[in-house]
This record gives sequence, structure tokens and C-alpha cells, in this order.
Amino acid sequence: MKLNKTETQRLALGGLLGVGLLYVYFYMLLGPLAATEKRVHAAMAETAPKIAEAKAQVDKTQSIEAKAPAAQKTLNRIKALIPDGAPVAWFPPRVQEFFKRQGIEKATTRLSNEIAEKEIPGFRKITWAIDLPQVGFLTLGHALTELENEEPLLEIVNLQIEAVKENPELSHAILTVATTLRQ
Amino acid sequence: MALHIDLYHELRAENRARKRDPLKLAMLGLLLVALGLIGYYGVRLKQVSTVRSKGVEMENEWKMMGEKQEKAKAREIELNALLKTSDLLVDRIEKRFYWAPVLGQFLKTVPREVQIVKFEGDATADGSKKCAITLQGVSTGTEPRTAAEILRTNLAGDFGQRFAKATATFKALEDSNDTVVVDGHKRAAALFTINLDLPKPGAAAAAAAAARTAANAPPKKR
Repeated sequence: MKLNKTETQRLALGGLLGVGLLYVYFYMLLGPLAATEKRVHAAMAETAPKIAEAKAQVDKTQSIEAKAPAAQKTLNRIKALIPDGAPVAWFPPRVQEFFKRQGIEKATTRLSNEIAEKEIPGFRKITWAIDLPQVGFLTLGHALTELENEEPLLEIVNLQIEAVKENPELSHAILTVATTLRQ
Repeated sequence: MALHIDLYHELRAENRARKRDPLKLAMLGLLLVALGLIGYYGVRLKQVSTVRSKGVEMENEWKMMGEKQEKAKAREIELNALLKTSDLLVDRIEKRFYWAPVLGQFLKTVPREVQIVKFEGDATADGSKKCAITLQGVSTGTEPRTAAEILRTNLAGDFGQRFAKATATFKALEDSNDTVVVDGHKRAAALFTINLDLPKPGAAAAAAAAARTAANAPPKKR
């Protein structure tokens, strides 16, 4: 088989056209497709851990959310123990009333210190000095038992008991108590 | 043998030549290759389109989850504050130092020969890790110093059952110039001051935990 000149020229031209079309095919059609695929894969690889992290965060919050009602209930109970109003207005009469019920007629309560609770936002710690000038040791013991049971938000931080010289049966007691109250 | 004369041989030759036309064959070959390439492009287009739709789907999911994550983070902070407040308040209530049992124990431990003149207790001593009590009193009997010593050892022993590592030490112990009348008899007396330290339950565990945390913490860079 012998090709004439025209046929050879046609074949050469066809070959050139084929090469051109292949170039266009690979670099202008398949190339962008591959690049797009690569870009999308990279974006997906970047997004997948973020989604997993977000899902983990949502799950974590849901697990904490499950504990919240019990905590809220406890907090509400504790808050219900604290009367409204300025503590200096209601706390000293309440203490005086309490000790009267325990058979201790004279009790003086003074505010000594007040600080905001750094660890417990919305609450403050108030320190009071309660002076019981004449009290029997047994009466004091019973009163302290009742006080510690009735007032869960109160803690006796300091206790001084000194015998009264004029009457050895009685003592002079000074209680320093700290109360946790709402701000 | 019969003789055949082919009158169409020229036409046949031309026909064969046309069929073997390299240009035509090349064109056919190229057409096949082109069809193959177009088919492959179609397959790739479909693949990439699937990947792209997955990517868009994931992007939308991330947008939705991202918003949820932000809200969840804010809610977590809020909930943690609530839980912390509740836990701290409960902890404070439960870990209070109760004085009534301490006074009850004194009532049982202090013997008849001893009178406590002054009692001073501080529940916030040593960073609230222990309760420090100072007792001032008068002991009497045939051996007033021995009576004071018995009180000291009894205090350490009795309180040691409730408070681990409770210690009772004399700050002062001296004979008194005054005498004390007990059961109608004049007795010698001794004045004493005893320091009683009651480590709070849980304080030792908390201190150990703090020490462990400090030991595990990375060293500070200089």
C-alpha cells in the first residue's frame, strides 16, 4: 500500500489534530476535573474532623444537660433557705429568736465581715460575731447542735468559751459564724 | 481447466483499494478512541460530580453543626457554672466543721479533777485544714500535774478515734500557788494550757491530691 502525497498530508494533518485534541482532552477537560476532585477531597478531609468535634461537643453538652435538673433543684433548695432582704435586717433577729428558743435569753449578733464568693458567683460570705454573755455549758452544747442542724448554710468558724468569774456554773461564749448568702 | 475472464477486475481493485484506504481506517480508529475518551470523561464527570455533591453536603452539615457547636459550647459554660455552684454549696454544707460533737466529747473526757477555764477553738486554722483548740484550765487532786497529763492523753486518744492524727500538746503546765477545795479537802492545783489539733476529715486527702497534681504538673520554663 502506497500513500500518495495528498493522503500523507491528510494523515499528518489528522495526526496533528489528534495530538491537539488529546492535549485539550487531558489538560482542559480531565485536568480541571481532577483538580476539582482533589480540592473537594481536601476540603472534606478538613471538614470531617470539625464535624466530628462538633458532634462530640453536642454530645458532651447533652450529657451535662442531663445532670442540670438535679443541680438546679439543689440550688433552688439552697436558695430557698435564704430569706429575701438585707441580711443585717433578718439575721440578728433570727439568731436571737433561735437562742431564746434554746433557753438563752441574751444573744447579741454583730456583722464582722462581708466578702463576695469568688468561687460561687452570685453568693457572698458574711461573718458574724454572736455574743452569749451568760450560758450554761450543756445549754450551749444543745443550742450549737440545733444551730448546726437547722442552719446548713451557717458554719461556726471560731468558738470561745470562758468561765464567768462571778458564777462558775455559767460561761461567756463568743461564736464567730460564717454564712453563705445570695448577693 | 476453464478459463475465466474477469471483466470487472478494475472495479473490484478500486473497491478493495477504497476499503483499505488508510485515511478512512485512521479516521475510524480515531473515532473509536474519541468515543472511548468521551465515555471515560463521562465516567469521570459523574465521579467528580458525586464527590462534589458529597462535599457540598458535608459543607452544609458543617455549617449546621458549627452553629450547634457554638450554642452547645455556650450552654456548656452555663451548665458548668450551675453544676459548680451547686457542687460547691453542697460541698460547703457537707464539709462544715461540727462543734456540737466536739463539745460532747469534752464533756465525756474532762475528769472531775479538772476545770476548763477557757476554751478557744478555730476551725479555719492552717488554711482550714484543721481545727485548733486551746484549753486553759486548772487541775487538782493528789497529783495535779498527773491529772493534767491524763487529760492530755485522754484528749488525744478520744479525739483520735474521730479525727485521724489528732494531737494534744502542753503549751504550759505549772503549779498554782492557790489551792482548790474538792470534796471538802484543800488540794494543790496546777494551771495548764493544752493545744489540741484536730485535722479535718478530707483535708489530708485533698492535700495529697494537691501534692499529686503539683508533682504531675510540667516544670515551669525559665
